[in-house]
Order: sequence, then C-alpha cells, then structure tokens
Amino acid sequence: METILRTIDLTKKYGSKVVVDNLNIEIKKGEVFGLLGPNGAGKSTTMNMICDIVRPTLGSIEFMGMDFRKNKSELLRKLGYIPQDLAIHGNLKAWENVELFTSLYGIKGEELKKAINESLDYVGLLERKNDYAKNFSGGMKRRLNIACAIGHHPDLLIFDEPTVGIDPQSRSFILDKIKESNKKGTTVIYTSHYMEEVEAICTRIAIMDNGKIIAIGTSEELKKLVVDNTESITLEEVFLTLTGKKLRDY
Amino acid sequence: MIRYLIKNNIKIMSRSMVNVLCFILCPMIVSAVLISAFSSLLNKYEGSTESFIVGYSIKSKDGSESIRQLLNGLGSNSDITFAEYQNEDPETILSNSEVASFVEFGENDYKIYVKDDFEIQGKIIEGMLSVSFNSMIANGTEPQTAEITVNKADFIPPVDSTDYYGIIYIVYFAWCAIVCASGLLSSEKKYRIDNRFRISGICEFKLYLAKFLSVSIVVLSGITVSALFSALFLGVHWGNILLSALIVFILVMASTALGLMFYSITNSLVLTVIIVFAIVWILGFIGGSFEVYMFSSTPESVRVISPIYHENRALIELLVQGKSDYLLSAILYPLALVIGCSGISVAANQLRRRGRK
Repeated sequence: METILRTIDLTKKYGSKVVVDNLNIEIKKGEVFGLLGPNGAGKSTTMNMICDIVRPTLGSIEFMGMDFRKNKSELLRKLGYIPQDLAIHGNLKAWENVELFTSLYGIKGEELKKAINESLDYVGLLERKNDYAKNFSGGMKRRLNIACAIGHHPDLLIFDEPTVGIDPQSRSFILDKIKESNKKGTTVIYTSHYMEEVEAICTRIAIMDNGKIIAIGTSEELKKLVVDNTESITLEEVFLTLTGKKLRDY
Repeated sequence: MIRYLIKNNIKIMSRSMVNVLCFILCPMIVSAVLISAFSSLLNKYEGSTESFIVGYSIKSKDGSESIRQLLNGLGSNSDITFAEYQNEDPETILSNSEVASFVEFGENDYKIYVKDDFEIQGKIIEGMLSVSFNSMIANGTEPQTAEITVNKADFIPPVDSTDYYGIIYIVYFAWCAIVCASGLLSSEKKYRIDNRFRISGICEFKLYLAKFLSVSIVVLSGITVSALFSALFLGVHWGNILLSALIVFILVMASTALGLMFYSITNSLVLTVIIVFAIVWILGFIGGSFEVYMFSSTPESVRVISPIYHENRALIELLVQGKSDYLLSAILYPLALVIGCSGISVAANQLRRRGRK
C-alpha cells in the first residue's frame, strides 16, 4: 500500500524535556491508524506537529510524497483536523460554523453551500442547521466539530479523542461515520483512550510511551507480543502490560 | 475567501448584544449628563469675546474728559460698551451686574478688575489701554484711540454645549472599539479557533484584514446609530456631514487597529482592554474629552500629541466655521496609526506563529 504520511526522526523538546523522541511512523493510504498511549506519551504533540500547530524541534514530515514544510500551503488543504477541544463558535448557527471553517479552504458560492449541507448531513445535523451551537448538547457539539473539518474533503483526517465525554449513541454514530469515510478512501489517524473503539475501527495501532513508539501492528499482532492465545487477552491488557500500571501524573 | 470570515465575525460581534448596546448607549448617556451639567460653561464663553461691557470710574478731575473721549473711541471701534460708575466698589459692580471688567482710573495710573471666567476680556481691555497710554507717553500727546486686533483663532467660535459634548463623546467612545471586538476575540480564544485557522493555511495578513474590517464595520455601525440617536433625542448637530463622517470613519479604523495591535502583542483580552482604556483616557484627557479644550491648561505642544484633539477640533470647527485647519491632521494622524498598528499586529502574529511551542 502507498504511504500517505511518513515522519522522519520527528522530535519535539520543551527545554530539556523530550516529548516526542525520534518518531518514525508510516501511515498507509486508506488505513485507519490508531495511536494509543497514556497521558503525556506525546500523542497530541505528534498530531499537532503533523497539523503544523506545533513546530518540530528536529526531523521532518512527508505527506503525499512531499516535504510538509516546503509545500505547507498545498498540503494543509488535504488535511482535516478534529481537535480534542471543541473549536466552534457558540454564537454562530451550525451552518454558519461550517461555512466559516470550510471557506478558509477557498471554497465559495454554490460549492460552499453544497459542502455545508453535505457536512451537516454527514454528522446528522442538517435538520438543526439553523440552531445556535451554544444550545447543542455535548454529542451534537462534537459532531459539529467534525462537520467543520470535513467540508473541504480532505485526504487525511486526524481525530484527536473525538468521543470524549459524550453518550454511547453519539460515540457509536461518530465511529460509524469514521468507518464510512474510510470506506470512501479517506485515510484516518485516530487517537483515543477507549481501547475498544480503537480495536473496532483501526486497521493498525501504534502504542506510544515517553515520546517513542513501543509497539506497532494490527490488534492481533499487538496481542501476540504479550501472549500466544490472542483470544484470552484484551487490547487494554496489552496496553497496560506494555506501558505499565504506574499512574502518569503530568 | 475572507468575505465569509468578515460576515461571520460581524455576526459573532453583533450577537454579543451587551457589548453593542453599551457601545451605542454609553456615548449618549455620558454626553447627555455632561450637556446638562455644563450647559452654562460654554454659554458664558461663547460670544462674550465679541461684545461685552466694561465699567469704569475716574478719580482724576484733570484728565477725566480725555479718558472719556478715549473710551468712547475704543467703544466705537469695537463691540465693547463702556459704562461709567461714580464712587462705587468695583468688586460689587462686577458681582452684581453684567460688567465683564472694571477699570479704575486714578491720578497717574489705572487698575483693571476682571470677573471670573472673563479673563480673556480682561486681557483685551488691558491690551487696548496699554497701547493707547503708551502711545500718549511716547508722543507726549493726548491718549490716542488704539485698535487692538484680536486673533480670533485663539478663541473658540461659539459652540453649543449640546453639540460640543455630543460630538466629543462620539469621538471618545469610538476610540474604545476593543469593547465591540471583545465578543469575537474572547470566543476565538475560548474555543481555540486559532488552531483551525493555522491548519487551514490562511495567511496572517488575511486573518488580520478580516478581523480588522469586521470590527471596524461593527464599531462604525454602532457609532453611527449612537450619533443618529443623539441627534434625534439630544439635538446634537454636526458640521459638514461628509467630512465629519470621513473623520469618524478613519478614527474608527485607527481605534480598531490600536486595539488589535495590543491584543496581538499581549495575547490577553483583559490586558488589552486595560491598556487601551488607559491610553484612550490619557489621549482624551489631553485632547479635550474631559476638560473642554478651549479652557484646557494643557500646553498646545502636548495637546497635538493626541489624535483625539485633532479630531475634536476638526469636528467642532467644521460645525461652527464650516472649515478647520485641523482637518488634514485629523485624517492623516489616524491613518498613520492604522498603517503602523496593522503592520505591528501582523508582524506580532507571525512571530507568535513562528515561535510557537
């Protein structure tokens, strides 16, 4: 399979503290890549470096065969980022939020109207398009957060813990939509603390700790690292075995 | 592309109704209070440099006729009325009559008494008498009638306090544009919208331009509504509407640019509001927002530092004279601020983006 994203010796240091340490990962086109790790493992920093929100201290990122830094403006248009924190304006209606963020990618006029309706329909909010975002429930806000990032039809979607603090119905809806997008050819990078979610939707999973990838592979491959009989162990047990049970207070 | 940003920024700001209402009502309320409190202040001043009454008494028997002739001559050459009093206390006359100044002619000297708030009239009469008597001493003749040319530019033309405060507080509150922008800026900060802007690849200049234009439009709309309301309900008049609108338009842009610059530098809305309010208060203080600039004790060299002074003078003079020597500076000064502050804002945002952790 073709590689869509590659990190080469990606490193991020804050002072003397190394948050991401010589990270080398390859994301294949059309896969759902899960990134797991305890708090402070460096997952969000890695995501932020890929999205150009945080600048790497060392190393580089290759996206669609091009150096990210050198072709940033072109490549950012092919990227969709769903941040962990809700990034929507409460004082705007649902469609206005989608319009605002989709228009940033140069989409306008009829094409923009179509993109707004498609995005809201995709997350099941089309009928609530004229409601203010501040009046939405937690799950609806999360869905709107997703709609704001997909209007420009990105090739790579990055989800940073998109199901935090929402009800099971909304979570199930979001996971189904991620699978649906993937089937249509969108590559997905997904981080979460919910192991069953990652196991359910990800084709490959990387476990990160102390800024490094300590294990990578399919769910089965990861389980085999710990026990031979993969049916007797859950992904969470693999995770705890590999990262330890010590509390991570950052 | 940025038209959608501008449109939605305007919606966010206009939906923060508290800010917008404050912005529309504050100038009206403050000017209404000041108009009623200081209505007599400007009335006392206006027109009194044109015509006023001077009382006098003559103790000397010898020269009394020539002094009367001199004063009659001075009176006929100006709008000053000279009224003679006999053996009355000058201070009593000043306090009990409309006399602005009183001259007590002795044997070889004269003494001028001036009523409070009529210092300028006192100076005028002092100058007239001084020139007349100096020419008499120099020529060894009878005192000659002196013509004193009063430099009118040093005095304000008559202006109604309603118009003065109505205009001055539109200018003052227009400089507080950051109040209107706070709804947008706090929403962007609270929801970390900045990250979405970053990953969209939109350049800092376009982002700044969208914010600058949307804030300016909202502030200008608010100020226009406030000006219309104060014209309707308080009876405030404006001079040349087109030129006045141009001055207000540019000052609103300068105000927006100033606020956004401090926000770009500090990245803190609270700090920005404190800094901007402090600066605007100082500029207003030396520029005539609190102390009527005609009576201000602040030296002219300090007053010209404040763009508010240029705008106040230009707008007031456009109203009362139809022209103003301050028109050009009232346009160019804020325009320079727009360019300077915008440049610093974009540079500060770019530096922050480059130096981000």
